[in-house]
Amino acid sequence: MRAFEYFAPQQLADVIHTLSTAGGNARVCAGGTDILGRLKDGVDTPDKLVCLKTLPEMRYVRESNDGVRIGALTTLSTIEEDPIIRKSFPLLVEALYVTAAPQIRNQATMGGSICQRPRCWYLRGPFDCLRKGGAKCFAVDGENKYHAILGGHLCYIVHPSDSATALVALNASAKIQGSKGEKTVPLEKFFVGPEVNILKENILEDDEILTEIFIPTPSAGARGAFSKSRERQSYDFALASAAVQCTMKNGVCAEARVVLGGVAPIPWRSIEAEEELKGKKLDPKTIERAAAAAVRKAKPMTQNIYKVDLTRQLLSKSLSQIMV
Amino acid sequence: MIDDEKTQKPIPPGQDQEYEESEVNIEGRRVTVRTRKVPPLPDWTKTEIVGQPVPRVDGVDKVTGRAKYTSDVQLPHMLYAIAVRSELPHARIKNISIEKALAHPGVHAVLLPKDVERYIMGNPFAGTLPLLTLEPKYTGEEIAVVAAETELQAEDAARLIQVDYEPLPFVLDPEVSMTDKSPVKFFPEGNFTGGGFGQRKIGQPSVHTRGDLDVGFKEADHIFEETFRTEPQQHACMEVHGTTASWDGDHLTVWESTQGVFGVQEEISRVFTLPMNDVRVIGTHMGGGFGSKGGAGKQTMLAVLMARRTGRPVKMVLSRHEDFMGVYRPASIQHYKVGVKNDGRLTAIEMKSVNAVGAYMSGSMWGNSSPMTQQMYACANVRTEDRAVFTNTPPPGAMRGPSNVQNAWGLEQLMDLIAHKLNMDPIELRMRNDVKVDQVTHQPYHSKGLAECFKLGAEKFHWDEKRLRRNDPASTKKYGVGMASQIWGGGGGPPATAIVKINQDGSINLLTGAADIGTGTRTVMSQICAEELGVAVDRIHVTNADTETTPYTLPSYGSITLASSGPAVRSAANDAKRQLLDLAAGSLGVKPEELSSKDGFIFVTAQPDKRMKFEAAAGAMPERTLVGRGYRGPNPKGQSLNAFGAQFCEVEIDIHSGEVKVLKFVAAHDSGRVINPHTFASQVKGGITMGTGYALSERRLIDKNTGVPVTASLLEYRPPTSLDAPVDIEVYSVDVPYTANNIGAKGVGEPPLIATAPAIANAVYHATGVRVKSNPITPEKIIDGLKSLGGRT
Ligand SMILES: Cc1cc2nc3c(=O)[nH]c(=O)nc-3n(C[C@H](O)[C@H](O)[C@H](O)COP(=O)(O)OP(=O)(O)OC[C@H]3O[C@@H](n4cnc5c(N)ncnc54)[C@H](O)[C@@H]3O)c2cc1C
Repeated sequence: MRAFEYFAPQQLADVIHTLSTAGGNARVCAGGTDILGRLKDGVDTPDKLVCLKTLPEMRYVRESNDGVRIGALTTLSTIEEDPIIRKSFPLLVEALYVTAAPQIRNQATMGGSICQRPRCWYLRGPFDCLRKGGAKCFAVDGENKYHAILGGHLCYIVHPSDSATALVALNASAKIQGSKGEKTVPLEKFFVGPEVNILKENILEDDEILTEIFIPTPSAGARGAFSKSRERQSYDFALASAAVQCTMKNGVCAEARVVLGGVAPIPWRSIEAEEELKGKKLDPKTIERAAAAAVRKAKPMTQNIYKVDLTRQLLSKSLSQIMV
Repeated sequence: MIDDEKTQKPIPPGQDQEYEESEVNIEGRRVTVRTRKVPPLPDWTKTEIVGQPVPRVDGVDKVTGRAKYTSDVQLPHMLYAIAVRSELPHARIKNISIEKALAHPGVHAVLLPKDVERYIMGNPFAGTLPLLTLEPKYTGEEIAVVAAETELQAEDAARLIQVDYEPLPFVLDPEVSMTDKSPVKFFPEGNFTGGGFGQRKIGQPSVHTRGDLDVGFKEADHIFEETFRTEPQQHACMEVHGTTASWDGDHLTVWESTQGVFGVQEEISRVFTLPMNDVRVIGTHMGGGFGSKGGAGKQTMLAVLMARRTGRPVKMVLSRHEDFMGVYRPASIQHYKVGVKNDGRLTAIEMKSVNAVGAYMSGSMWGNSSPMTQQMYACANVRTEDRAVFTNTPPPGAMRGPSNVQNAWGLEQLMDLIAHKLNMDPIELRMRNDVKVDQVTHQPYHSKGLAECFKLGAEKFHWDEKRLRRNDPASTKKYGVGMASQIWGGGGGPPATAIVKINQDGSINLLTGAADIGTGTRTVMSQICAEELGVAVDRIHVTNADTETTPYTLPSYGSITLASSGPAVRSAANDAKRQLLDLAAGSLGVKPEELSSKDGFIFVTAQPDKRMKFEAAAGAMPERTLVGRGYRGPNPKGQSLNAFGAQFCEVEIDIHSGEVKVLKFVAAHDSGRVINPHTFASQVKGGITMGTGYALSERRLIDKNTGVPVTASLLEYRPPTSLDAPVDIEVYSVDVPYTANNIGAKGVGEPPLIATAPAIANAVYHATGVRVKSNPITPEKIIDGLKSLGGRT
């Protein structure tokens, strides 16, 4: 690990100040489960590390009449065990339950989980790849079994976060604090694909951090499900996942949000699948059509063709769970 | 490792009567050694301590962190050494600049290839390896070493060493390397050699042949042709490879995470021409080896040299990342052609294997995957060819059940496939091809409890019933069962010596050279010693794996530890007991032969109330200490000593996600007498866990375009987690008497891994109809397999 300067500020303002004066050479550290690995592997070499854990005010799950607010420093296990979350957002609980392992969820935070960097082995290895400012994506003609089948563009990473996949399906939004002040954006707009920015996965500027996630109260009749496939039953990222949140009225799907994980550089909202569901009776035929629509535009690479079928099936699985 | 030359050393005149020859089978390699004839001891009929689930004698030390491992060793003024490793799979190094590194704070020295070139590891038989090289042949090969006062300083300094590479072409795929298209020529005679322990010749495969294949195929009613593939498997020991070396004048002490301190001592003494009494190697506690720590590593030699150069103790412990760039079980491609009669009898087996063995000769010893094909089933007409193919990958090494684990993946699936085709119970098919004689050595098996394993395992698993169950076609979960069997060595043998010291208070020191690589050696040796002396286990303190204080024994590999050192321990305890009984006989006024020792008392066998306490007898020792010596005697002549086993498993498959879950395992093993049911079961459960990883998730991958490993972490390599390991594992030992040594035990270290992966693959087939011929069985292969079966998803 390369030496760096370590900051443990007591106030959010100090965090923002340190970030804004570091010229892009500072990283924040929340639970550290992702950033410390990157530092140790030498794939990220900031001059400054700003610890967020010493900030007192960003750990909470608060219910209000329009929804639930989660502070960015709240640990994943706290969220997973929170009675309000368990009652209103089983989809999120399911996604958290299959995230990493309990030890990591005790340490990992909401903000870190959303802002974690992709797990592409070229990005994380000694390869001078596009996302690190290099000249090419090594996955294109390389080992791309775990790479994107949707939304790839020059770079073919997949977004690693299970919770982000679930939160986009829940129509969550993100509160951002920076030196220019505070703003809120739909989480869906928080993530950006490589066609927008090949160096990062979200809109955060160097002097900005994520402070809060807001999830609106689901409408009556809302149901959610999350399905994930992985190569081992713990400590493993999604080969593919499918988060679905539907509002059911008399067996008919009034509203639907379908988000795919592990298959695209961002949590991938499938408008195509949603169109197949809206206003339809949720039966096996509809499910099959929606699942097929979700992967119709998939462009698999040389070694990840299986992800097309897998994604389709996982979406069927999630939808079938909602149906019963 | 036993060298061939050593086995032929002449015996000093006059000693011939005291010695005889004995065969020892280590990892499938048979060597003949001279050994002392040892007076036979009566078989233990009824045992009190042996056979009991005695808790581990060092359990508390381990769980409290008191046990000191190599990586825990901290010495005053110690330096940390780190290697600079090749970033390319094949290159010529034009220049190495070390000025910046030397100027870095805390840095003491840098070693370059020229500083170490006269020290060569290995031997002509095993193959040699340079310690540092100017022409790296795989990514991660050592180029230089730097030592500094802190780990971070050493790491920084390593980064400051600038290496200028001239990239050279490289080849990773053995099937390419074997052809004219290979961009690299490893040897003028070709890019492969024979695999295994026999005489290897470049450009020629190693061959086993018997009978006549043409005749065999003509006799056959069915012919099966199949290809199976296995990926490399990494040891991923809990404790990574590491060494701490410290010189005191000319006396060297080395703490090494090793399976055999004496092999490390021999190698250091040979490479640096040091007298053996100046080389002390300590390996008391170590966190797993699985074959990867059979002898000295490069880091051993580099730490020793660096300590010499700097005049400071030096610790060189690899990082997990570096560990993953090192030794592993080689990949294999296995082509089979098998002839079978309608009744299931095998008439001919032809097998050709290709094994990727890295860029050095040393890897070729592990480049075979046919021993089970040669031995497991009765077949008169057999030909196997093993090719060890050179590639720009690290040198592989022994790994738990080397060759047989790869071989079983193919052979045991093939048997399953044949059984399905012939509509026969896979156990029935195996029994029809049972054989009592080792078809390679033509020697009978001393004992073979395989039929008993089938019977007991099938009964406990409810095989007959579960095998006929059908899945609900509407369900998205599919269930299936599978089984497989195995053969391994594990008979152990000489040389092994043990010392038992009785102190004047009746406490006992047991000195054995045997390593405890996490298996519970210390515990079972205490039990053997306690049983023979007739005292409780807690009276015994074991000192082990220290070349200065314990006597020679073979390393802990080839499942030989218990069957090699155990009998020596019993002999030593018996020798000590006889001496103590001689003394006690005087006090009790009887002849020594009339005495027994049990439960802490020495008593007249015919008159048990005439007795004295064990410590009272010890208190009367004129020398105040008594030393018993014991040697491992020869193995019985003309017999093959092997351990057998059968495993049964049940899997659940989610056809949506393609995930395979192993629900249950039943393992029945024939390992002779079980000394401790706890440690026995631990070995079996550990083996099954490791086999589950091999079957389902583990994959070492080197990027095909750059030759750089991309799975060099526990996350990407994917060993099984506690949720992947089957929760429900039932372990049974079949009670087949074994009398080839004085404790009645054979090994169980490697056997439990061999049958596991094919048993899982067979269960997956039974559940889904998908035959996965290459490991690991990932969701990808299930999804693709179901798709090609058509319409089942
Ligand atoms: C072995 C292993 C297995 C895993 N498996 C899974 C899995 O199955 N599914 C899954 O979803 N994840 C998985 N993860 C990833 C894990 O979820 C993340 O590491 C974790 O959520 C990150 O949270 P943290 O608080 O530790 O973040 P940190 O490591 O502290 O930070 C992560 C990144 O986010 C940035 N960051 C953190 N907080 C903020 C903030 N408030 N505002 C702006 N930037 C911020 C940091 O600068 C850093 O770049 C796994 C991780 C490991 C190590």
